[in-house]
Amino acid sequence: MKRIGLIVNPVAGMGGSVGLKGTDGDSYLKALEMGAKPVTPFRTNDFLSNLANPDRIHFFTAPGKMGEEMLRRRNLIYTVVGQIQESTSAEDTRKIIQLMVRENIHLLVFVGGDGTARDVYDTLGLELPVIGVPSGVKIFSSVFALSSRAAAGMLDRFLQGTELQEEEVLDIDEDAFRENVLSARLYGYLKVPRVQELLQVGKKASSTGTSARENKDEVSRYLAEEMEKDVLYLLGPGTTMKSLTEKLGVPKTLLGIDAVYNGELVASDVNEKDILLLYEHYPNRKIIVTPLGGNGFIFGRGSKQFSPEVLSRTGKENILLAGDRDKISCLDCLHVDTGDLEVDRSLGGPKGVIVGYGETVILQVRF
Amino acid sequence: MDPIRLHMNELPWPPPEAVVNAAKTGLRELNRYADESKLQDLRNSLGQYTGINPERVILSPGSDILLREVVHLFSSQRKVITLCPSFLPTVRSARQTARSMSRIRLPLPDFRLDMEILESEIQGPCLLIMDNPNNPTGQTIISSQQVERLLQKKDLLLIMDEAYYEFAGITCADLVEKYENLLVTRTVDKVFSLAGARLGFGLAGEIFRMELSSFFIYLPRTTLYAALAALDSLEIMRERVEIIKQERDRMLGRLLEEEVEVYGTSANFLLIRTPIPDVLEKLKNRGILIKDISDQMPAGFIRVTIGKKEENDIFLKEYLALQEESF
Repeated sequence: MKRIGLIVNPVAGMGGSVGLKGTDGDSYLKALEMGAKPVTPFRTNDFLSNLANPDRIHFFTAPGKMGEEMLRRRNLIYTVVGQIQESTSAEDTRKIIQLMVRENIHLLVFVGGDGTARDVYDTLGLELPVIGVPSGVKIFSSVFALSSRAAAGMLDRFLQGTELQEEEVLDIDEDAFRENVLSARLYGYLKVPRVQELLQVGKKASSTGTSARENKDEVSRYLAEEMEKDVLYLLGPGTTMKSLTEKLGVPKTLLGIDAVYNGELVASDVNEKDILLLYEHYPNRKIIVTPLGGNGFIFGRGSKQFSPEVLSRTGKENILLAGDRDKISCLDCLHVDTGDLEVDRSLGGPKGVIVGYGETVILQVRF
Repeated sequence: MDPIRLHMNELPWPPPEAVVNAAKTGLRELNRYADESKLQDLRNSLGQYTGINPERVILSPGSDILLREVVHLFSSQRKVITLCPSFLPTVRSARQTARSMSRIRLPLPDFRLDMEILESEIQGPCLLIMDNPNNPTGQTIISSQQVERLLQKKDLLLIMDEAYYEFAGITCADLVEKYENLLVTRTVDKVFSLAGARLGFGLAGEIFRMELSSFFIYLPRTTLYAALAALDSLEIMRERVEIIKQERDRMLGRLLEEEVEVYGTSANFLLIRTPIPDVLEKLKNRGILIKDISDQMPAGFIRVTIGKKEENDIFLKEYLALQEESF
């Protein structure tokens, strides 16, 4: 019997029906005042009722509305861990997950939105696999299953045995989002079962017949072969760049920027100042970055280290973009918003993103 | 009950009786390969239908097979340029054989092809593959004049996939006599109600005609006879195309009235950006099949083939009900 954690964010998704984009901070109280109804019990029930083999699972869950109530209603095997406050918070989520880990769970199912995914990442990182049941107002992170039913399918496949893959957790600024400004940055990665057709973003992979891992391998092999001698390469965050550094045999800061010269790591996790210092010594330089999944931002949302000054001293022609074929193929355009209109303008126009061995998708960079 | 098939861009009606009878004749002769003389008859008929010299007609069991053959023949020493989105089987073929490949995004809201980007990509030996109208956006993306300008580029081979020509009425087929570096591909499958018979063809400029001279396939007798009969019934085909176009416009109007994000096309389908989660599965449960194209489009895009009026009405009813529920 597999030990599966189940944690439900009871307020996730409540803003949607009353026109609020998210329930961070005071928005939850506002949503309640506006008559919003909980969404997560429905999603959780849908998830549980679609499990093919619930008798093969021992759930570990949080008290009451954070999981226990739904499991009890469906008469499933479960153990309640810890205690929660009357008015639940991210702190409850983190505390309960820690207790679940101590119970040696094999995988954590969480029901919520991007905010919940961030809480899960803060507590769990890449320690254990997760399945995200989408229940937020807007879901931008690619860690989520397509639907609660798809999440059930993913758990069934996990029970049968599947590989795992890393997917993005994004940090969306809800205040900005309420003003219709999409401000997102890469927050981290969570491990999810590799069931491409059931993932928010991964579903695109099914049609190409190439797994995300094979695709990353293809892209990084091409980049490694194309890297020029006597050029300083600044490698942005993300798993595609990690795959490249594995090819080169150097370590990579997953969420940071590392500098490589002639196949050797010359600096890791550099900030803007470090980069400008490096530029004093290396006249030939290139930046390789991955567009942010879901919204296509290349600069101005993720790596602030690539400041307007760094970018203007690098030049558009020395910026290489690379990413997952399936994620890039469904972007309408790329975005830059560095805070410096001149720099944004210089980066605008058509730009190719390497998505396979010798394969490029050309998109417009908008600002 | 069989599901309503709105996912494959087929025509909803069976072939005319005369075509079915012709196919039956072919059935009775299935112990034999097709006669070369009959294959030549088919080339002649297609030549007459398209107004192109029959010597330039290349038969294929589906235009996708011909496209794959051409990609295999020409892409290993060339950069392939194509569109994103585009007809995926061709892209996949190119991925296996091309020296390199660039795909140019057709961006929202009008999916317009930026000719400046396209022309800047054409450097050195290139194989440019475009579908016009484009599948799945359904937009006519290039004019005959623009095609002619491209054809003057040195070392460029151009394949124009005109699978939806009869709906759009726009073609550059007449240019194959003048430009050796052009191949136009078409299909008999769709508008002649012969999807199950699988027949495509190419109209080849001289380079393609020479290189494809060894591409000879014995078509099944059923397909051969059915196609010959179908090409004798052009009026029926044209009437059916007109009905589909009227239905397409009616559907478009109705969906726009309901504030659905829908895109009009020059083909026999509509493009919809849907907010309904799991819409494919939900419609399938209601007996309707549609196509998910989110593998090369921003999230939420689906393609819906225009069917018979009663099928379209069922789709409208079910889709709008789902939309109401999702709000």
